[in-house]
Amino acid sequence: MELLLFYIFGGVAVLASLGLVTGKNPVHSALFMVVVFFVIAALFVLLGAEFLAAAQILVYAGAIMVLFLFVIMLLRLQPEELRNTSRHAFQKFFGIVLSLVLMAQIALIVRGGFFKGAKGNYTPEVVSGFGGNTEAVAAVLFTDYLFPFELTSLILLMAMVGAVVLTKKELK
Amino acid sequence: MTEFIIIMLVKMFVIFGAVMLTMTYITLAERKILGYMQIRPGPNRVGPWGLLQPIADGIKLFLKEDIIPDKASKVVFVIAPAMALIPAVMTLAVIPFGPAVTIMGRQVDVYMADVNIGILYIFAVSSIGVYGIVLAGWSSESKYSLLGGLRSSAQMISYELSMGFALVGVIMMSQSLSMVKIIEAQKGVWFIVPQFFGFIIYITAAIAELNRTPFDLPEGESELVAGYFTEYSSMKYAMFMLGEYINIISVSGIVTTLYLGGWSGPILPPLAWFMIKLLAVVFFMIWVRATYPRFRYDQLMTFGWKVLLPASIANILLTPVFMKIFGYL
Repeated sequence: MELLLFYIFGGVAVLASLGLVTGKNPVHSALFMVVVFFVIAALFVLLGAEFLAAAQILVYAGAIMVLFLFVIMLLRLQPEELRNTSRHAFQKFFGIVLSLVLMAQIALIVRGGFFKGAKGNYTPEVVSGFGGNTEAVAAVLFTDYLFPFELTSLILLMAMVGAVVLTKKELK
Repeated sequence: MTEFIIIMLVKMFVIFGAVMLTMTYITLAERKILGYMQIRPGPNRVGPWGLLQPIADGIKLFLKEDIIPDKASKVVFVIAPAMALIPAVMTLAVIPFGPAVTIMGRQVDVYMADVNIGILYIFAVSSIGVYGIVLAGWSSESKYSLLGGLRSSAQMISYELSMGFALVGVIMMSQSLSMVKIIEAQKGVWFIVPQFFGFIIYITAAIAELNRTPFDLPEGESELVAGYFTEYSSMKYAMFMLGEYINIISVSGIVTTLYLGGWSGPILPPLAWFMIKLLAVVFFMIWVRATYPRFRYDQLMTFGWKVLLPASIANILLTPVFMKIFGYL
């Protein structure tokens, strides 16, 4: 049952990603990306990580992609304007090279038996010992990873201040 | 396994049917109450006291011609109403209407699921609701629709933050994300008392999320005709309306669960208490609609970012202090 669901969601993810990359219309691409986020959330649920699933939908599908769509709508990007300019040809070349490198890396890791190695500390039993997925994430995040967590919030704060400064018309 | 699936299917039909029926009559109740508040009778021609009005409306919408504008982006134009309706219905899955009842010797809960991330689920699902509106505005290729869609997405992004932050207070007090556990945590005193500011912030933000008066700028008829669904007709228009009213029910259900003690109450059965509280919240929202004029757009943004958001953050900061003083911790 679980394996079947995995194949269904995985298949949808692959198809939607293909649609995302090959789509000519930016809005359609954005919608395919939303589908990808949903399927990834479903995969998280299959792994018993329901907190991550909810966060995935909330943050990526519910906030980030809405802002993407918002910008696409504001700019009124038409499909024709995006095709075959010389600058895009340059980007296409690097895109192909980089994605080949990435594919090679993923293949190396999968072939290298990385996933067959020793099991990590957080088995389903340990997680249920915390009282659930949400509690386990919180416990690890606010003890072992407290410093990176605080560092991330500092970086986000910097980004926020940067955005405010950039949009201010005149600096006093 | 089979038994589980059958029980879930039956529950699905019962809950969906009950919500659809309630929703139909909330449309009538809204028009009637607005009518009485404005000293006019409201709909009273179809059936006794206008009771058949919602059915007549439904038939009318169903028989109307379905128009797709020539320049519209067809696929997106067709799926947009569905994307507005589906998240609204999905929310119903975790609203606890009542505790377990015994039917034919089986213990059956009167809700679809008690997931242990209930609040987050609701919040995640409702954050998707904005897609229907944005896409409807974009795909119609009409300036009124586009402006309505833009206004609405900006408004929903702004108010979603305050809504989420207001809920943090409830989560802190109940120590749980599960809807059923939150109801159990309100055995002593309903959260509307200790979380009064959170309640005010939540219901204000929720009315803004629902695009209802005084925050109904996305469909401000004097400037935008009807906003994002200007170009929609027939059943597609009806789907937007359905989504809107189902959202009203689910928001009222959430307010009932999180702040009004859910199904708990003396004498009457739990389900009856839940309905009474839910309808009281619905009445409150209609009352607000009859009372306040519409905000101006800059007022809406200023209010959202400079009043509601700081207030909700202050609520998060003050809740632990309050809990310490009154011995919750």
